[in-house]
Amino acid sequence: MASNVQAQPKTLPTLSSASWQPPFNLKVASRLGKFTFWTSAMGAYAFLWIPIALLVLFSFNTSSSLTHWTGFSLRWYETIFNGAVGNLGESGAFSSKLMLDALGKSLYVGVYATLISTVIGTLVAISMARGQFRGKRLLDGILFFPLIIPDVTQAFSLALFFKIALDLIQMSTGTRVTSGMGTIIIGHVAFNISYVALVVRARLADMNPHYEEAAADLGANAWQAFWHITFPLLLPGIISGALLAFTMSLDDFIVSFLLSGVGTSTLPVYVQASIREGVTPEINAISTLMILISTVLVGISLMLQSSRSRIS
Amino acid sequence: MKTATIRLLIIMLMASLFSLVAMAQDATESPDEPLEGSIEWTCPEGFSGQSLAVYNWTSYIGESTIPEFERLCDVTVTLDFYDTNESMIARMRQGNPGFDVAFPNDYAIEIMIREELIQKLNFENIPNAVNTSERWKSQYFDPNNEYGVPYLFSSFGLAYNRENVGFEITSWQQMYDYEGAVVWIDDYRGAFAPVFLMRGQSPSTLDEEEILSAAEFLRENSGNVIAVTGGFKELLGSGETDMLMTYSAEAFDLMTQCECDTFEYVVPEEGGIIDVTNAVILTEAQNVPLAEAFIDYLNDPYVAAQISNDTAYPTTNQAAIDSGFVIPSYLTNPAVYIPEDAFDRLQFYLPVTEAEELYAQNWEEILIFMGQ
Repeated sequence: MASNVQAQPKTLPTLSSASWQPPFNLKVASRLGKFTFWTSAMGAYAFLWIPIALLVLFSFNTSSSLTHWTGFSLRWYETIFNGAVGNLGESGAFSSKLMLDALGKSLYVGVYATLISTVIGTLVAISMARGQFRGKRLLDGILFFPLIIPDVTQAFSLALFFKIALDLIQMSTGTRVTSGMGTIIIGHVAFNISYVALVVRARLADMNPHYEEAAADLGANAWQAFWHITFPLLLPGIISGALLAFTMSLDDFIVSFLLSGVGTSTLPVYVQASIREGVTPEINAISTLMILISTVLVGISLMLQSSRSRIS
Repeated sequence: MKTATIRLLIIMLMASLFSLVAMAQDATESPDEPLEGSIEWTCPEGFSGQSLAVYNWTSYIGESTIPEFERLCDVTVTLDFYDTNESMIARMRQGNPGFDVAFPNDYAIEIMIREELIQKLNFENIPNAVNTSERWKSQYFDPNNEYGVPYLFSSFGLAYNRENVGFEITSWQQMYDYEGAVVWIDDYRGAFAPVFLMRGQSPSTLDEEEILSAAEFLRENSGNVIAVTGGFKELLGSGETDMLMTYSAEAFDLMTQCECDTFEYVVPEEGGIIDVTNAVILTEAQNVPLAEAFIDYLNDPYVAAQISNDTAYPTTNQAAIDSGFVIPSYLTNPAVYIPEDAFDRLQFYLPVTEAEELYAQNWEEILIFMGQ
């Protein structure tokens, strides 16, 4: 028994060596840590993607139920195809055609609103970052206002503005101007500018201003410096801003409804109107196609961006 | 000899089976075909090249209605959509951006007349308005028939799964007494209406006593309610509920989607709600003459029947019903064409603006204590 007590101190000096055991199992802890990371990431992704996966799944449903799976079929895609090619004798093709018309209007508004807001938003971002003028900081703050005020407020203010503006035009010129595609596009530009400017400014903040100075040192004028140095470096930001603006435009319901006119029922307006009599999986099928198209578009823009950054 | 007789017997049996099958097919197919017909309406001269803007609900017009009109008149028609009477009225209050024709419901027509959002029609240009059934004329919202031409109607009643319930449902009382799961509609007008109807009171009552007493009844009888929802037909279709308060069009969708005959729609004996839309011309319409021609065209018997057949909503056009152009099974399906005797039990909703808060407040309380 005594020999046993003596034997213990001998092992003590090796405390700092590899044989030291922590009070908990490191391997288990690191596994636990990895597991936590994995589950939280997966949880977030599941939260994001399960509704979309369900939407895609039910676009292949045999029956018109949106919640009960009865079997695989392509009938809703067929319906959309029939609607697209004007095969109106087929069942469901008529509502598909109306839905596709609405999608066409959404894309029309989206493309124009994106083009205009991308140009304006980029110019605003550059002048805010590079220009020096009185009241810049105030303007800088106001620029992002549309991001923080609720959509409804902005939509109502735009509707009010256009009512007054169109009445004034009618009073002063005598010609009747009504709201329509034009007012919707202007409304979309109004909120999209902020999104584009925000993204482009973030890119500008990351950019080293010395590149432009170096270009100037080497004899480039301001225009050449912008066109050959700043613009290519900014392009990924501009494209991201444009994509964001396009998405916001496609999404928008409230501005599109309040500023609507003849022939302006966009897809969100149509979908909202058809909820009353029940949505059919056609809308799932159209949404799936849209997800597919936008994935391809985003993929292309990512490829463009990565090749750009390699060149620069 | 024996085998020959058996063979003969088999052949005879087969032949009779075939003929039976053929007869059965005949029996299921032939009666449900409407009469062949065509549009008799002709477009008045002088519209060629013009355009018309129609503001409508989705799935509320025939598939070929607009293309045919465009062809007959050589005009362009744009179709836009709204989801509720309220949002359409809200849009019009801001100023009409150029829509010509819309299809508001009864109570909405009253509001639109009062706010001068629609204009009087020139019935000289709408001779087909005479085709409207007398039943829909001179209603409270347009007593002198000046503003609208009735279009389609629908009713609000009870839909149930006959197999699960096991007996015939004829009254609202049976729904409140039922042991199994039921679904109520998600708006207070619809939820309160059956109680008032059961008690012989107006479904649009403004009387505080009546409203409070009905709310009390609903609170006490909400034990078997599993949901209060607008997307109700899914719940009945999936078997989660056996009975629900619903609009006839929802019930019809359910019947056609399940391809079965287990679902019934009934206007309970205590009564139900009816609604009707009218074709109207909006204030500041861009092309009133063409809008009137369009409304006249909608009331051609064949066109009206096509609209009814495509939308599965019943038409108000008596000439269309009499013509035989309407799908026969629709005329006998209570979820489309309400049985003649049920009309006496149906009432329009009247505005309840003065009591709106009382209704809403009590409805909120009912929702909180629901299912307990």
